[in-house]
Amino acid sequence: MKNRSKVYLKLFLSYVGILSVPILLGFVIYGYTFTSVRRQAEELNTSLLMMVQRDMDKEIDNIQKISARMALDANVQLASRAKKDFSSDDQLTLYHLFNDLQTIAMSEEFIEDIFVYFNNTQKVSCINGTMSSDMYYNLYYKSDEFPFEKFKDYMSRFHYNDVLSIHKKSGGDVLVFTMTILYSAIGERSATIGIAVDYNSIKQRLVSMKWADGMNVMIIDKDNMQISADPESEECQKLTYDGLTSGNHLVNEKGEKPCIISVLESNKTAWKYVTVTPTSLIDEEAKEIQRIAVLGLFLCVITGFTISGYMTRKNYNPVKMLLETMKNHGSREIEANENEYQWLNNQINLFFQKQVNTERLLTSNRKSLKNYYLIQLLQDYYDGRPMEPYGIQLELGYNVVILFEPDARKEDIEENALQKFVITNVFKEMCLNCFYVEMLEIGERVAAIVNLPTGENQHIQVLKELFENFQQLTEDSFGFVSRIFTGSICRGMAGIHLSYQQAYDMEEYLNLLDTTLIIYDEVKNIHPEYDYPAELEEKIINAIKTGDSRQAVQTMRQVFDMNLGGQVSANIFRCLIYDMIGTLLKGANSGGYREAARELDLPDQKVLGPAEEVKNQFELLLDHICEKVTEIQKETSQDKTLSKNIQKFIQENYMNPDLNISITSQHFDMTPAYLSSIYKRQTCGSLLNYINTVRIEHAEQFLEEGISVVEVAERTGFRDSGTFIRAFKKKKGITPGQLKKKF
Amino acid sequence: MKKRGVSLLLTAAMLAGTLAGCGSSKETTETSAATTAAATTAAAAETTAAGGGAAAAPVASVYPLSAGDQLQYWCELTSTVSSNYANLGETSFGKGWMERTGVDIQFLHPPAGQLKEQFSLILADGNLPDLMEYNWVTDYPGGPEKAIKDGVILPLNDIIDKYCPNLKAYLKENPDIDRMIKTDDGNYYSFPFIRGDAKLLNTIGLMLRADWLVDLGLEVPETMDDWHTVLTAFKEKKGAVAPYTFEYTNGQYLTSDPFAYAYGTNRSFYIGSDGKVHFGATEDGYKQFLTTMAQWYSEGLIDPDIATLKSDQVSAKMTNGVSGASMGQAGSRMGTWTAAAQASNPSYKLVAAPPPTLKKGEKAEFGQIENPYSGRASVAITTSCKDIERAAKLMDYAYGEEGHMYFNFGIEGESYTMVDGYPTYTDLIMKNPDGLPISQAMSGYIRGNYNGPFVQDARYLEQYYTLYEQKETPEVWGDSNGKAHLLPPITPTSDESKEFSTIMNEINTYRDEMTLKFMFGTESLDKFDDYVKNINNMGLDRALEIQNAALERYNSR
Repeated sequence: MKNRSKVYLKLFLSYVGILSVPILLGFVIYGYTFTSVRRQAEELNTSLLMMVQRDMDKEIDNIQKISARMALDANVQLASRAKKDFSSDDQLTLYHLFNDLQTIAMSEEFIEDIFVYFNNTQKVSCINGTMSSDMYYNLYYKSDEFPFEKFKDYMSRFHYNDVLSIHKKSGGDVLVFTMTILYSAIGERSATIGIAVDYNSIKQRLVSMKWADGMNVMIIDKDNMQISADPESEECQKLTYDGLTSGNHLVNEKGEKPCIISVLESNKTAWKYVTVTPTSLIDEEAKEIQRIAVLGLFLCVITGFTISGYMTRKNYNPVKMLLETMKNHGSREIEANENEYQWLNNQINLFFQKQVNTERLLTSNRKSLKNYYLIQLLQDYYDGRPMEPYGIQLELGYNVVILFEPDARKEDIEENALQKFVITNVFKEMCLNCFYVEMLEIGERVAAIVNLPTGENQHIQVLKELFENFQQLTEDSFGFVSRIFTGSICRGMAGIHLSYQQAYDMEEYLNLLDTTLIIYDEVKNIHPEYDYPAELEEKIINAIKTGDSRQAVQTMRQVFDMNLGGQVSANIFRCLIYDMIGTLLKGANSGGYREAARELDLPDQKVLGPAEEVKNQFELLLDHICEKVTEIQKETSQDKTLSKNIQKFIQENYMNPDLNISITSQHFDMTPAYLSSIYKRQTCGSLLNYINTVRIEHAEQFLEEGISVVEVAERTGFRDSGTFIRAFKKKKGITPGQLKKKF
Repeated sequence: MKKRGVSLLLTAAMLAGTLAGCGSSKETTETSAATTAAATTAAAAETTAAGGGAAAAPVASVYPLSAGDQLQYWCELTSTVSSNYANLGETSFGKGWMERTGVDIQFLHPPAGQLKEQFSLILADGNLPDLMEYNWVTDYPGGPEKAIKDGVILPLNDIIDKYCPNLKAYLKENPDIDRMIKTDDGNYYSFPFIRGDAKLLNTIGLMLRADWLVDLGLEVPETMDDWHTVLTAFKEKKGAVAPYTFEYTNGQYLTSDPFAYAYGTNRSFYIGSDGKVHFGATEDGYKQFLTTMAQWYSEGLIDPDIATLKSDQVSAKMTNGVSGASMGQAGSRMGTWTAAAQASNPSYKLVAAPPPTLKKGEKAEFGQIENPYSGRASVAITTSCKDIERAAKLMDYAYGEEGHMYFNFGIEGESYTMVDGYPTYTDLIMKNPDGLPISQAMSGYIRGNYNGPFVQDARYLEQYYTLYEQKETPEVWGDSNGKAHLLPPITPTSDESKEFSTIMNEINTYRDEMTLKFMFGTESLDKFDDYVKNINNMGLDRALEIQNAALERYNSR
């Protein structure tokens, strides 16, 4: 794995690089979000306050409107005029007022109670009916801190859009918006309208407006009365109406609980709307984002790295596979200063280099192969296999084979090769103008297979012209004339062999026709052979051997008649004569007339006379030879008596150990050399050998008779037994002792 | 799959309904009513098909039901509950009801005293709670049949057949109630509040300070003259500023005013001896009643503030000696006042007075009595309800044995125990450790002490009335022939109802105004004929015609 690190690392780093873009972006977004969260928190506070202000002011406005309406209400006005007690008429007015109050209370959910405090009569009309003020107080607002006297006092004074906060008897607080009725008699505040709003419903409003749990929304009035969404909050309880100014303030910055206090004043009454937001809350929002951002980054990194790793591995795998493949094929190890790609590149270059070399080799091989198959085509019968794969493109249906024989002597290999090269290239070039041709060297010759479209003879004419031009050219340019043998046009691939055979056979016409261009079609009509059976030749030879000229002439005539009976080509006749001369010479030779070839006036085979004349000439020759043979035979028969005499002399004197060729020649008064040669001519054996043969035969006979070896040696003319044993073993294959034992 | 099947059927039914509506009706409200009717029919048909041939009898529901959507239940929170709880769901009763039925209920309550107004608002808004507890007979303009046709509530016939075996069985056993709780067209429309015993029908009557009577040596008044004597004595001898007081702003009290009954009339409709519907406020008896009232008022025997009285003041006055006589229920008034007043005045005692007569010894012909089914506190399934089956099964629970006990007595072992087969409230109710009055203690556990969609059990009342004086009220107050004159819960046709309510709104407003004027003396009773004439001109005859037709239809149900 050490080797993979480079490209692997590069891949991995590029993926991680891509990954870093969202990560960096994430940081930027996080930073931006953090600041915007703070800004948003302030904006939220501001808009919240505005909402509170709008909402509460609307309600206050509504309440003030209702107060004003009630203050001007005819029934209220009417009832307020009553002194001391209500009359029956007033009761009816109050009944109507009661119905009105019911309607108002019903339509305004914010309003808990609405009442009219009649100062003159100390009565109160409320949605629960008309009753005395003390009963009203006792039923609904009785409390120790706000005694009836105080209530009474408050109600009897002048109020205009005032707010009174009192405890309800049933628990909880209410805000009572009060307004003294208008148009009353001067100095007399005969009735006060009170509209009670439940603390809790305001508080609920405030609670519902909070945008976060930790913050507080509150209303603070000029008497520092507070309605707070979170009344428990100590910091908020410390706030005072006068201590607050509109706007956003950061309070207690370095204290334990820093918070932002936003203040907005009511447009309708002496209220201030306040939000108290601990900065920790905002930070918590931001922290939330921070957590999510960090988590996101973490996930991004984890998944990013995982995917990067995966992708890297996935994308590296093909490279790895290539590397493995390369390595498996015995490539060299990666060097330290190159990476996988460079290595691969080098390896692939190397591979292709090899490929090119191989290709080249293959091409030359193909050429050899082609030649091989061409030779096969020429020399063997075609086996039907396709030749195209070997580059042999003899597509047309007919072929003719032409053999070129260079002029050079066989021994001059260099010259021969040069000429072959010239032939191959020049002819090929010339021929390709007309036909497709395959050239190949075959031994000392060059063969050409010309591919022809048809088997028509006119192509031969074209070729012939071509040959002449070719020969002219080679003679002029290279100074030699090659011999050309042409076969016949044969059909198909299978015909190539036939054509070659024909061309090959044309060689024998070379001498007969004495030309450098032999075309099969021109010579095919000449019978190439003459009928000269061997038994007739034997008959002639035997006749000559015995000197029987009559028999010899008769047989020869028979041969001539056989072959010269009909039309005969000059060439054949010439061949026959040639053969016949051979026969004569053979006969003479075997008859012992060895000088016949030298002495006889043999017919000239080049300049032939008429057939009859040649025949007679042969008869005369035969007569002469036979005479000579008879003569020689007589001479050799005289000498045979001599050899018989010699053998007789040896038979008689074999026991003489001094018997040898010299003794024998002295006996017949001849030189030993002559004697020995005559004996040899007559018996075809050597004299010395004969002597030994006679001695051994006799020795065998003696051994058979039981005579000892030493004695036999003495008796048979051997000087010592050792010589005898050696000669005996040489002749018979076993020693005389061994032979004797047999008997 | 099943759900989908139902919804498909529903869609088909709606389509059919729409088509039918286009052909037959011009009113879209009727179309939607027809739609829902068709839908229920389709749903019912599906069960029939699913259950095979024998599906006519509804299968008993197994409680608690399997989990499902929350249901919204809109009802008035009665004062005995609201004094301790803001929501019925906070009460032990509400929690237990949900637990036992397995249905999660969101209780919605209108602000106190604003039942009708809030109801109108909800209808106008169109976003209806699933279930609405209301008086569909008297408080829905045009009555229940109109509510169905308006597409507000569902006809329940098929729903009861399918999902409500308990209610179905109860109605089969009580054909008179069955007649009451359906419309003239034969449609069921609500899960009714039924007073299951005659004792429960006489709930409102006169009561007065027994201790004062004893002090003054007076008998419990029987005639109008007796009353005059007693009230005068209270005023003069006991210093009562307002000897007679009652919640005049409560229409139920006004209609059942025993003093009006004494003159053989009341301010609204009743059945005369001729079997026809009469309107009391224009009759001669009413003039005599007003004459007496005016006299009493001028003599200071009646609370001068009477026109605007509500319970707070009446309670205050009845307990602090400002008043000595009143009218109200034996439980929430007589019992509560006695308990409150005895804290400072142990001798304080109230006693029920029988329906007054004009002549001594006469049996009262008229008297306060209620129908077993008044239409009150009856729960309808609205057309907004998505899970009708669930809603129906929730409601049917109360009409079964288990539900009946739960609604009337609460949790066995906690709010009641069985003593000799008699469900007896425990001390948690009767002597509440937190010092709650019985009515409030009960309201935390049951609905038996006020109302709701169930059959009320008399055994509640027997225990609820702890005082002898209370226990005797049914007999005392019920000593009249009032039942003969009681208008059954008749319903005008939806066409007539609008006309009827238009007429009656005008008449009632005028009547109430004039009644006060006559009583206060600001209008001379010489003008009574003009008053009658005016009312007649407002179309009273037509209103009576409608009412009589409705009665005839009711009788022929």
